[in-house]
Amino acid sequence: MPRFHWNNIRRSLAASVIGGLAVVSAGTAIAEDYPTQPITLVVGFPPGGSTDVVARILAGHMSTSLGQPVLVENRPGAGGTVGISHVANSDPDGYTLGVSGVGASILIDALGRDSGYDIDNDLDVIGVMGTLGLVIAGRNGLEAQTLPELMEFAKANPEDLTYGSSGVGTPGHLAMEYLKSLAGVEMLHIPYKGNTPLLNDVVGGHVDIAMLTTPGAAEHVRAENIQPFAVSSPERSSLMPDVPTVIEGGFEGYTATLWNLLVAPKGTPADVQAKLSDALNGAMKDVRVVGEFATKGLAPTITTPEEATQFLVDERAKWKGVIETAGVPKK
Amino acid sequence: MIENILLGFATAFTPENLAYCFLGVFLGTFIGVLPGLGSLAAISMLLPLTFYLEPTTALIMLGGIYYGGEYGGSIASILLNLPGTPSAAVTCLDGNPMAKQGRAGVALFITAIASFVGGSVGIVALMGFGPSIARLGLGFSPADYFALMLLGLVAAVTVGGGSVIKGLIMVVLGLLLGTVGTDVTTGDFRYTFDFLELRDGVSLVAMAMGVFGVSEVISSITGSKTRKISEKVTARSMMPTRQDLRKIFGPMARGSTIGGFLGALPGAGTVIAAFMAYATEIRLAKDKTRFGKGAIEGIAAPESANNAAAQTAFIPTLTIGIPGSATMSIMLGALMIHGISPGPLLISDHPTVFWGLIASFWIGNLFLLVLNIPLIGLWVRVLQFPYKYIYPVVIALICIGVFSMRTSVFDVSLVVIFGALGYLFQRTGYSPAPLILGFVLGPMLEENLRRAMLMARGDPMRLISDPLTGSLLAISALMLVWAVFGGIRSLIAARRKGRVFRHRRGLRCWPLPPG
Amino acid sequence: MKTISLRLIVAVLLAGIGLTALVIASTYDIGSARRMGPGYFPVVLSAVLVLLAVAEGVTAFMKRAPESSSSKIDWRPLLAILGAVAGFAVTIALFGLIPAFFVVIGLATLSEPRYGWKPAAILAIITCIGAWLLFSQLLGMTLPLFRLGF
Repeated sequence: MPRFHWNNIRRSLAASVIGGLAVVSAGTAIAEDYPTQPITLVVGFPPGGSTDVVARILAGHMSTSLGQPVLVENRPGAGGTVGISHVANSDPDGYTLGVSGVGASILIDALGRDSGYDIDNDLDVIGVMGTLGLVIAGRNGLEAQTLPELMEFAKANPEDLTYGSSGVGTPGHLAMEYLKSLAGVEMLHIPYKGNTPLLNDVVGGHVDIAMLTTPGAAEHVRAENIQPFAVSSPERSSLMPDVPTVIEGGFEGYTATLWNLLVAPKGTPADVQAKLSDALNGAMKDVRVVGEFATKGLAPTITTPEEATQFLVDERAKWKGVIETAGVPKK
Repeated sequence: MIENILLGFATAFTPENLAYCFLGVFLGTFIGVLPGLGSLAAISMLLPLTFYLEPTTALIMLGGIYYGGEYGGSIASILLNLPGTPSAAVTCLDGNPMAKQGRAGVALFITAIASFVGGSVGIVALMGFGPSIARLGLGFSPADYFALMLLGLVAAVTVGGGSVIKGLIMVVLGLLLGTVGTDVTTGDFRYTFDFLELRDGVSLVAMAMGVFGVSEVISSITGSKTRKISEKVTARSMMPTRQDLRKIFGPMARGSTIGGFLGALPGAGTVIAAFMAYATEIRLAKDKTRFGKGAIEGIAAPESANNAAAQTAFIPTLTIGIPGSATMSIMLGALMIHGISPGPLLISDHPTVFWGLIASFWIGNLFLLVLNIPLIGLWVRVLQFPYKYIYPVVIALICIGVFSMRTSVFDVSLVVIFGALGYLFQRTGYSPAPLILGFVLGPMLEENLRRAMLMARGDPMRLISDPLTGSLLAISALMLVWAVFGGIRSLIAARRKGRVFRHRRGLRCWPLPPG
Repeated sequence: MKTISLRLIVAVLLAGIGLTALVIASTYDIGSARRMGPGYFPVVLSAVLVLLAVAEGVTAFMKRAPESSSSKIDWRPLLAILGAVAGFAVTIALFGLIPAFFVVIGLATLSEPRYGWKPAAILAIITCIGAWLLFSQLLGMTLPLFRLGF
């Protein structure tokens, strides 16, 4: 026969009261012990793509530091906006996050297209998830060897050179248009559907020049299938340290980089944001992540949510200026 | 060369790699069988599982998933008329009629053999001529691609099996549906009706599941009330006869060659390989009317072409770092995740990865054969289940399959529309296969033509004067003339026959449309 | 007796699709044969579709073939199956995967009279367990099993 001790009863009573309070307060104090369930990280592109790779590298590290799995969910479509639109419409509880690139954050909106959300009013920016440079490369057999020579040739032979981009309104297209307007040259734009067919045609010699992502181009530069003219990042790329920047080529202040932002639905509690920001920055400092980033031509970034929001504001001003200067028509 | 191949087999034959290869093939087949989920879905779902493996092991497993998925797709196509990919849509044409005639076992057996033969031919091509084939693919300009797509479309019209006008209608409707979404050349939206989801176009899987799967289920429910399945599954009923085996030799050889060649072309090959092989067999056959009603060549040729193409599609992916299909871009992504940059230097920088992978391709194909022949009996038994219990599950699986592709409710709603359309088409004798091919090739056709015209500065003569483009266009024109001429001839023949018929029976009877 | 054949109805439907597409496409920039705009292909294709559909419709009208059993619409399974898919779409958006499976299977079994709710329920339970094992456990996919509201 079990014997009841007052102490035991008191203890269990106390436990159940505390338990009950915990249940009651669960709605308000989620941030205290956040995260208590797996976090979904929405990627607006298919698995295996560059955005997906970045997301998975960082998600892996964030899972260990947050103590809950961060699961990548691919919701591809419309330049990433389908995925981000889903995040914008989710509960701001910190369990649905998104990876938003240049297109989904700025360009789609700046080119006058409806993305289904307003990044300033519908989303909180938690941090920058690294930056990636672009490289201007040409097919083999072009006479020009350097960027100034290339621009000189283009100036002397207007509309003679063709340049390919991975699509209308992509950073590569806009960055080339910007360069054209700065150099005062005319080149014929040939849009492609993504980086892959573009790479195929510049290696095959069907298009003269292309703006490619550095990791996609690096192997071909090394094998001398294409010749690099300049990288668009402010500093030289770790993947091709011999290639000068566009700034070195005489175009002061010219930069164009790709990046991703970690975003959450607007209204996510500040302490949840702080936890996520710490986890993201922790990942950026991790030796393994730094190593993996380097092999993929990515530059790590460490930002507070405020800095990341300011970064978005600055980048938007820059890209809007590019669209303005280059005279890209809005839809 | 020999030492490289030996190195490859030494890499692939470690117990760990063999185990993961087997696991990949097994899981791939399993997922591929589910309606709507093909090798692309199988690879995307299982990709995260391979992140924690050694790079070579991860690739070997992904390779296994790939073939498993392709084969699993064929099983679903043959048994239930549920293709997840355009090439599986070709397998449906004769595979499903065979299953309905109680020859599902034979169809699956032939598929396994044709896949193995096609795969082996592709691997030999990959080993022997990999880099040089890759160069050939690079040489294809946008104009050449346009010409090749045109050839594929001409083949598509002849594939439908029904009347030429209905085949044309389906191709044109497919092309039109292919224009939905963002125009690549200008970035304008076409037929998107303010849906974000339509900016990337109509989902292929939603469309294929609607016009094939859903419409098939609806009409089978009616049919199943009268249909009686009483055949016994014996070992004998699953084995092809000696005559069957003799018949498939030629188609397999031709299919493997066509597939092996087309697979190496980035972007185009794997889609049109199966269609081209099927169209070739129809052209060569003495009795063209057998096709679409369970002709054994109609499975052997496209299946071997598809698998040969699946192998040679690795050539541009691995040797020049340019993936030939959506599935291949995921494989490329997997390589990059493991810190290996595919490209011209892959073979010299990472010989164990390259040759180990190639050796494992062959082992994977062998596993596929070993795993699937014993399972044929099991698959065939699925058909013996009362249809009453099958179709609700099939519909549920179609829904979850389509939904999980892009986590999209919108795509599931598209299945409703395409299901209704598909049912009407099926009732009135339209074949959905040309619709699918038109849909897949249309955007590529338009994009490449417009790109070629931009590059030629608007001068069409510059396109035709290129020897490769010119000859591809000439072949298409010739085939079209042939098809039209054949159509007219059979129309005349039918009219004459009709007149005789009417005369004899004294009945009012109209000639059937040609084809 | 003259009935309007299903073949004719489908031809008219196709012509209607083509015509609608043509009207919409005429608002796009057509460009020229040398420098094609986004409207070029859609205009050409929808015009060809209309022509082909009209040709097919005329053939069907001339033919006046007796209605064979294969060209009749079976309304019951058609509506049940399409309703099942639509029901899945609505339910998964609102309540998650498990309820959606019950809805799709329940509605699909309405295609036959006297299917009975018992086999339907058993099928739904089996499908749910199978899907949960495969998608959530084996593949680790993030599918919402249950969810409330939007």
